[in-house]
Amino acid sequence: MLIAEHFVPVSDENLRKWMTEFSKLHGIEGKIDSIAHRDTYVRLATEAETKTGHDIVFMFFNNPQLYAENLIDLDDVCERVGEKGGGWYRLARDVGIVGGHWKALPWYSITMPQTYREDLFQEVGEGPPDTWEDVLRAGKKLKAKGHLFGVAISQTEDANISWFALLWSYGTSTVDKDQKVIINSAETRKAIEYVKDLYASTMSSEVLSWDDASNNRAYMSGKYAWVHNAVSIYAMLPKNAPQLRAVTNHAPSPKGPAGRHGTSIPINYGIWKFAKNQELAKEFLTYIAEEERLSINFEATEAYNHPLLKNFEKHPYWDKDPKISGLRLYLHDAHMIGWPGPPNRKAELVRAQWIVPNMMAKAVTGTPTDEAIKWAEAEIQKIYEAKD
Amino acid sequence: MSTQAVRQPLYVVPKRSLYVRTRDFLEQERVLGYLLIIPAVVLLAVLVAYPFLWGVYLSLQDKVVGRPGSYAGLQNFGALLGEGIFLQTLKNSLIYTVTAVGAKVVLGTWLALIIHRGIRRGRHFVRGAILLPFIVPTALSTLAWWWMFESLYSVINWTIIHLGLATEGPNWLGDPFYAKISVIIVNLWRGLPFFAITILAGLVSIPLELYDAAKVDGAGPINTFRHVTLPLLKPVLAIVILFSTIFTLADFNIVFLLTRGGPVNSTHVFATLANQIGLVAGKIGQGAAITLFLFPILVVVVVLQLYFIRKEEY
Amino acid sequence: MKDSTYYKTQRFAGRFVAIYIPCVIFLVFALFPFYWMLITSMKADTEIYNLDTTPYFWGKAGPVLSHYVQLFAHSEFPLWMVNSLTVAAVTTAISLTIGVMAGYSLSRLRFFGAKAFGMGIFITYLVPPTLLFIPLSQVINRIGVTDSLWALFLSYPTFLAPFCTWLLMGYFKTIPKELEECAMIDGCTRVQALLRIVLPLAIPGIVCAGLFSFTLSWGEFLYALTFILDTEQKTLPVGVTSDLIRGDVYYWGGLMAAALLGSVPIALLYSFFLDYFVSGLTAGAIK
Repeated sequence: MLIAEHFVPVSDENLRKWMTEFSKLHGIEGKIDSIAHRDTYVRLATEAETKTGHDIVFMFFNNPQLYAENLIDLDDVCERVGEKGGGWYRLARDVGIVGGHWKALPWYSITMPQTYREDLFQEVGEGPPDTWEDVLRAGKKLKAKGHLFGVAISQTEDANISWFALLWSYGTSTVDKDQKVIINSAETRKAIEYVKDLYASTMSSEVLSWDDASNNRAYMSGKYAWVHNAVSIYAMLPKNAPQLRAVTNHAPSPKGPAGRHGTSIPINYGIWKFAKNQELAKEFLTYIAEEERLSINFEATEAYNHPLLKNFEKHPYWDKDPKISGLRLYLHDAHMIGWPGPPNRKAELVRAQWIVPNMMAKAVTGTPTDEAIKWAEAEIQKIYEAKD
Repeated sequence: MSTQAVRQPLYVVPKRSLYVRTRDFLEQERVLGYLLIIPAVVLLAVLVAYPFLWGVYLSLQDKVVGRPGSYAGLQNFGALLGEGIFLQTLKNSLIYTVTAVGAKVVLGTWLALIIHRGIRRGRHFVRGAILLPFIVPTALSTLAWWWMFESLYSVINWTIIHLGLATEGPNWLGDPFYAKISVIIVNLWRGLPFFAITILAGLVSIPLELYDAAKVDGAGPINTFRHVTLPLLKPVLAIVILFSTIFTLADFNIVFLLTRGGPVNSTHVFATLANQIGLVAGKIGQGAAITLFLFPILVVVVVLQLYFIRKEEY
Repeated sequence: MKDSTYYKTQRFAGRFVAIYIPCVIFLVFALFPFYWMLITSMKADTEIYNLDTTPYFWGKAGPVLSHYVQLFAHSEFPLWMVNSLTVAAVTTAISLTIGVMAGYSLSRLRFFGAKAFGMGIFITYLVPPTLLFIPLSQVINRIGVTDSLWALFLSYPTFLAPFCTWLLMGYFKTIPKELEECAMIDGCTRVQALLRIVLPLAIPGIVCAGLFSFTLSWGEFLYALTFILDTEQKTLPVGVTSDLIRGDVYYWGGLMAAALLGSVPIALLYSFFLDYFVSGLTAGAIK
């Protein structure tokens, strides 16, 4: 089984524990290999091409869609899990189902809320930021006091995640559900003007070089008061900057004129067609997707691992830590990158080429809004017009 | 070389054993030559030539990962040439290589001269210390550099600010211009030892009499360098430049770990773009085509340099 | 008078500016990252992230060894070191053998197509690994050695052997043919002449090629990542980056410690063989 090193180590420990238990139960020897998540693409490509490798593999984002022909059907596993868990969110189906069949089991999704310094916000008389306008207003006040806000505007995963969420909350996107390119619209223009304002009044040019870990670091340094990042910061604070933990809080992704939308970062597991132990693999996936185990990891990672099953909305852990409870309904409004279009290879290309973040980067560094939009439109069009 | 077995014997002699005859056969230049290169040829044929041809085949296909592709001719290449990002990558790669190699040549020669002419004591230490950047695995040392350039924690910016040189350090990885410089700096840091030590070796082998003769003729240091040192260094320089160009053009780790090709594709090189398109997005046919673009450029570079070397030999 | 103190001082000052200062600058440039790695590898986590502490030295918490402890006790670091050392040693040996044989053959023996083979060997150098690695992994699979160090034993020489061959070719050319011919007249076979006369004279070149191969093998990343997955078989760069970088959390202390520990053995090796290294590169380069 191949996994990517998890951001919160305890999730991996639990997974390995379960593998050992499962192995004992079935009298087999199960093995888990782990690599950095950035390197999973290389591995997946190699295994798919050479048709040898692990039985179960980790698939990030919409990789199940890309590798669908090489994965076996997991209908029985997924339907059973879905039933027991109160039903899958629609987004889980978008990711896992290709051509009418489940191709991967969405194990959980990573939530990307706002992470902010409650104390600093209170100092300037702001409550929890609910809309993008709130964010802007609070940001201006806090920048005057020397605290910055940050969202990556660079070629990194976090940038895609944040900026797509923003575009959706302004009612626009890269393509519509028929895969027609719609990015060149008035709503996009409004969104970009907002981002320009946000950048100029609340951020520093540092964000242009951020990578996925930069917002964590920036926040932990104490200089930043607001970032758009998963619960990983909160979880790592006791180790790196314990004094900040008490004053940190989360809020769901900000609302825009077209409502609140978040981006989903699903973590899925699929089984290759050439896997030698398909039945056992399926059983293992069922095993780790049992509600009690999902629940264990959910709690252990402080809601970073968010299962895509509706039952989890009622989980008692939400109430245990008030700082997390606001994120309970995140998955209701979460989408895959490329929404409302299908999360297929073309959406993946758009994501891999950092078109949206680069459009934002161009806009905030001086390119006129229309030019930036036109550039993005041309690039996206090239991708969607090419043969699949 | 045995002659007995060939000539008609005038008298009876014992027939030479099979072992000796075989050994003599194998010893002939022609045969031994082939024998000795068999391991190399086999290794390279199976593990390089064959995959290379496969790679070429991939680039001619409209292929995505995991799916068999259909023949697409030169479509991948054609599409790339019209692609803004690819042309930018081409430009970036050339700038990166030319600048980095150029800097390495100049600075490497300078450093070698300094060590050769100036440092008597402590020479071993200096040579050893200079080599260290070359020894560390690039994957790890580049991470260290990344942290040193990192916008918030950069040690360099910290120094600049605390020395009062500016109120804010440059945005090393976020500004297209500075990002290019950062990447070149790290490449320079890693490659300088190779240049310096090799050129130093070349300097050491230049006979001292030549320098004395030049001094007698009244040549100053600059003229000595131009007319004595440089010509004799040319073969060494040529080889080092050759290898360095090849390595730098194909470099992946430094750019990937520092900027992933950003900001806004300003530091993408062939290898990183190929990774992005071929592996992350799965369009492996196109990825292969991107990497193959490198090949003709390298061949041209190599041919030019080899011609240059051969000329110098005579 | 030439030797008066005035002139001596002037010359010294001249040397100082022209030689010592630039030398120091180069040394600082080369070594500063290592100094910084050392400091960071011994800094407590809270201090690494603290913007107020100077990056040049430890803050109030002082140096800590926790990162090193974590490397040795909580990760497979020692195993990765051993793997890397093994792979480097074996592949260097293989490449040197191939290099000596091919180098000798191409530089000394005349046979049809020698020049072409020489060119061919060199051309393989131009093929970038980023193109090769997927087809290559297919081949490695067919041979059946995926996920074992053998995959690296086979694939690393593909980029190590050509360089060794080229370097040794140059070196062999500087050894006079007469020596061999004398030996053969005395009754040696060619192979014996190679082993007993030529090789000993070529030791500097061999050492040089060996050190270079060792370094390249030590730092190689892509093939090691693609072909080996089992945590216990990983080499140093792959193991360290996959273990100490989890998503968006980087364990800087551990990473820097690993980087330092990962360059020490070779640095020691080099300091022993440095003179051979230098003379080997000379003769090989000036064919």
